[in-house]
Amino acid sequence: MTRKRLGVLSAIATAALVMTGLTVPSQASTKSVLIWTDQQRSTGVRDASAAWAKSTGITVTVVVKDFGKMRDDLITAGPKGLGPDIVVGPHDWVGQLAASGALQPITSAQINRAAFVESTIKAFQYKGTLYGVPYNVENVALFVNKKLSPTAPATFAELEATWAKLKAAGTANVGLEIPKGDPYHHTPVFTALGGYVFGQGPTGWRVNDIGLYSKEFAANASKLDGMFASGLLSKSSNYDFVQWFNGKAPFMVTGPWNLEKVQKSGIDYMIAPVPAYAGKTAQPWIGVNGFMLSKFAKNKLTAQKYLREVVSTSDFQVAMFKIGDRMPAFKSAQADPAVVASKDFAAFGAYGASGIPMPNIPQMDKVWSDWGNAFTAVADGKATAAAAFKLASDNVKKAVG
Amino acid sequence: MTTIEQVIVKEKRMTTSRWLRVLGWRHLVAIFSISFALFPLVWMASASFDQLGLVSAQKLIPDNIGLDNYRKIFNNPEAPYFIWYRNAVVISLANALLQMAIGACASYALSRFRFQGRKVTLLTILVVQMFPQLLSVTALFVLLAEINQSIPTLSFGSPLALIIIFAGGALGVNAWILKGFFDTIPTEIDESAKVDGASHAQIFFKIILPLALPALAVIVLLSFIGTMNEFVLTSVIMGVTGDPNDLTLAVGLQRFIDGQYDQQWGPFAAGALLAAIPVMLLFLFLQKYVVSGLTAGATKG
Amino acid sequence: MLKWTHKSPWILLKIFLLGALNSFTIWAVPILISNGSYVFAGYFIFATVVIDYVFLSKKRVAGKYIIPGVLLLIAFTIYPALFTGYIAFTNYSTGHILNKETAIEVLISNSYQSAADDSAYPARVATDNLTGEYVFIVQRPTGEITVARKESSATLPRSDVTLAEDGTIDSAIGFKLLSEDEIFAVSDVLSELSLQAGNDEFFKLVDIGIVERLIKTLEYDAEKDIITNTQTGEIYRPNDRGSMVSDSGEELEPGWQSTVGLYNFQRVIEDERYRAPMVQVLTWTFIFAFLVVLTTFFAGFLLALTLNHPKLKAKRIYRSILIVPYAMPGVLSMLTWRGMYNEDNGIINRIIGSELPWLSDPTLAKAAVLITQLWAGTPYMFLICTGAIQALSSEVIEAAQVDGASPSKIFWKIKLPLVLYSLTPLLIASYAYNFSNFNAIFLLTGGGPQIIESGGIAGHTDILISYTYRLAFTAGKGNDYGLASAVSFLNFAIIAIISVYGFRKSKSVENM
Repeated sequence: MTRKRLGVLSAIATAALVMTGLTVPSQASTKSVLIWTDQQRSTGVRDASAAWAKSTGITVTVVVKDFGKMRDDLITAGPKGLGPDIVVGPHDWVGQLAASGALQPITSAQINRAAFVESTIKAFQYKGTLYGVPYNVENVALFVNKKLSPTAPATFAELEATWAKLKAAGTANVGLEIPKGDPYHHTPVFTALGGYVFGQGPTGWRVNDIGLYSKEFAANASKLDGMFASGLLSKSSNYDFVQWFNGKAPFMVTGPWNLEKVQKSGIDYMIAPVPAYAGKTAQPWIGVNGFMLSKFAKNKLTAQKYLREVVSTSDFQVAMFKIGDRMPAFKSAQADPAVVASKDFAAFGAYGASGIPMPNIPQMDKVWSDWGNAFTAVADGKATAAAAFKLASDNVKKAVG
Repeated sequence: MTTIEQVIVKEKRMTTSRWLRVLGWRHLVAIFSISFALFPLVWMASASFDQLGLVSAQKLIPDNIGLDNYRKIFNNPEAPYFIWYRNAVVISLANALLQMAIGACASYALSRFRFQGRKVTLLTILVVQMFPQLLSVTALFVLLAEINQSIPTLSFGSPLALIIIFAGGALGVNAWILKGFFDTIPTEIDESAKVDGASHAQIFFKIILPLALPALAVIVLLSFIGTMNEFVLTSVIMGVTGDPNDLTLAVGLQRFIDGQYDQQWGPFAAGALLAAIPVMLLFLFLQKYVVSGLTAGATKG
Repeated sequence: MLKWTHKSPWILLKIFLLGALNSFTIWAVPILISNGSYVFAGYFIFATVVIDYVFLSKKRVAGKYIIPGVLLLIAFTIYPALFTGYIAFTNYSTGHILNKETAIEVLISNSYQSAADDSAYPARVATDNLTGEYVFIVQRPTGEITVARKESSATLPRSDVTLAEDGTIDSAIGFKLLSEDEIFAVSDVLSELSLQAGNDEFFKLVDIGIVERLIKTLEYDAEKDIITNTQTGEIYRPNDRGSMVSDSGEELEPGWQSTVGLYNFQRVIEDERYRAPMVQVLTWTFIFAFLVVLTTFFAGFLLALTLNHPKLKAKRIYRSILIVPYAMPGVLSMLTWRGMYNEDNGIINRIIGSELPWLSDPTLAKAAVLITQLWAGTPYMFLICTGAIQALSSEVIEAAQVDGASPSKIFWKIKLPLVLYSLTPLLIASYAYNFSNFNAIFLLTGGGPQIIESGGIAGHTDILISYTYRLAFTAGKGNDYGLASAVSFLNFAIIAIISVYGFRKSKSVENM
């Protein structure tokens, strides 16, 4: 009996103890904005928002999330009340996010759409509704090692000739370094050969029009085989671009994210368009980054205010340019002296003008793996480009349909 | 002490041929295995000193050698490496000890008592952890989101919640390892102690546990390593709050490589290599228990 | 009277812990119930009662040791597994995350569209002095002032308002205008508030002091459970997969979560894309798991034996170094190995002076996966065996030595069987682990090279889980958790049946 009584007594005693330690924290004030970004942009967003936060008295909290998980986290955590007000990410997230009901539309009164480059606004539209405020644009381009190729090739034939010469001299191992099996980086070459992913109709992407094995590409497919056979493209390239960085490749296709590394490497470089193939433009994918408003934002009003008064300004977009090395999406920011002075960006931007926004429809997710497999199979010599891309095209049609 | 060891100890010096026969080849095997084990690490180390972080460059001495990657992880307020390090070590140690405690208790019951549902428990433990873990994180997220409404202190961002959830896996392979080990301890030892009037707790703490030290040490180490490297669950629980000071090494370092195309393998490699140090230190420390096993205990018991 | 004995601190500790647990439960359960978390509340009560019973009883000795672990196991291992099982019967996937109520709210709320290109008007948020409801007092470009309410809108006489210097409304008779801070304080309500603007149009708050004139394009009829497009007249009805669909087949996004019966399983079984390469993939899965366990176990066991010599002074250092591969994050090790296998500049080809296509030849890729797993998995086996060897009774081995048994005989006939005996369950578990070792495949080869003959969907090194997950996460519109769960479930069923069978076969079950 004594034992039981003791137990009860201690229970009461500890209850008080425990409860004091477990009080529920009060709800955050609504005069704040919570933003999710990846690590790379976090400091920039925080700094560029500081002045506004000070003048309005609104707290801007920037939370770093894993880039790879942010989209799925917003979809699952948002409705549970654990999401942010705003998420910063690329436009090709919009389809999945909007289809899952995770985003709040941006209506025309909220931002002045005309102040943005039109294509960037289009990129953030899904089924005719705008779901984000764009702030910069990125695309791949051709990086030329000037020591191996003093000028940028004007045509693909010229690029191939440069490679043939260097190969004969034994000064290069690869002509054009593109990560093996990565469709994103191969897109300029792929489009130059006449391929495409989805056809474009007046209302957006035509999901039933798959161009992985388009007529034009089918006619050119053997050219892709030839590029691997001649060693212009390599089966052992990867995201490290080892050959280019070791000075053993005259050209590589990559984006602004590698600029820092390129500058550190000390290689004398220039940025140029991937040249057209027999007159057909080599179009890169355009990625637009922007700020999206969560459907389940706790502070929608302050978040909307932030999108209007901070993101949609030239100052903010120029500030983000300075840390992010990407072309601003705001027209007046593009004309800013700091932006104009950067010749790398002029080069990226000039080439980007010919690009296509990456499809933001959820179906795009079904394309990457089969499309990439086709590039891998060709690189490894397991199949001809004709066979590999026909197979990929058939598989994607099945998966999408 | 058993006799073989004593005999060897008594011999003052070995002849060279005997040394070769008894120990030499062991050194050879060890050195060969270590070369195999460390070989990939050499390339990781070289990538960590490569300013460009080219893991696949496969050059022993990188072209652009420097300490940039280490600087990136050491002075970066967005990526407080040492705080991650401390979090990882503290959480892993706490978890390892808890796992060991729960596992040892359960294994003692499973090894020494015949109770109803024992075989079912054993089989359940074996089978249930075969379930692919990749998706259970969705379930745990939903569970935590619900707890978060009521008891936020025991939910996202709480190391305690993380440790409790990890403890749910204590009855897994570890329990089987321990039970297998307990089974090899002769029951006569605890039978005779029982006759002498020892309680079940005394038998457990004073006899079984000391005898099982090698296995306990192994379990602690396995759990420690497992927690140090755990990414999926930790990132869900500690990553939701967004405070970089909440993260562990595995989750924090991941941020360097989770960009879409721009993955910074240099700092990642630097951080990951340094993270192996506590594991090695812990094992160095635990080894005295690994070898102090059954025989040493048996003479006492 | 209580007497202080050597046991007393332990009893006090026990009472304290039990008390803490009980009070925690007493504190937590009402909160859980008030938030509708009945399952958790029930489990808390159940767990507390079980623990109290077991620890206050004098009899349940085994329970005292095992119950805490079992309760945690149920909560954090079995429950998630069951939950995954449940997900397999739902359409939980991109586009089907929300519950129906929320999904329809989102559909309707997202259907507001700007009424015109320039439809933003200055406005004040106010409360009606009589009813207390929120209203917007809007200044139209025509100079007309509109009071927008939930159910109606009305024009306010110009004389009822006074304007500030900047032209905004300063006061309005009958209304209390909200200050900026007051608006922020209730901004969660105000930001979703849509009030009548007349002519079937609405006002919503864009910012402090600005509203937008909007039209609502979708209307939900809760009674009939249909959605009507007010512009086109199209009618959307719910289908049995959690979506609103029109007669022409147009689907509204988002849909909601609903149960779909065996649909996910049916897809796995009937879909040709899963079925065609299944035999090949399953065969390799079995071989892969078996070879990994076999090679890592023997390597680990032999290493453990070799280093287990009392005079081997360096063994502590050796052992500590040998476990390092196990402590490396998988992503980094696999990336490094991928670099080492690179056909042109990889170190492996450079050392053996070859140009072997390690990752693109089917056989070599399989070898590469196994070599890498030998590297990654041996430390684990080495550790376990080091522990298990300590349990070998030295008397038995001595006796054999005295009898003149050769070292190899001692190894094969005594040491190996004894260690195997105690490690059988562990080897089975390890087999099961490798059967689903997603990372070992995904991070190194990504499943490739692809099997072109069977349609190029699976790869030569794909194991069941890597291949089916890839399909599940690139199917539909994005992540199909329902399909992935069904796949997990089938994978689990196969490996569980094999393991339990193997376990009974090995007779361990009789001795356990």
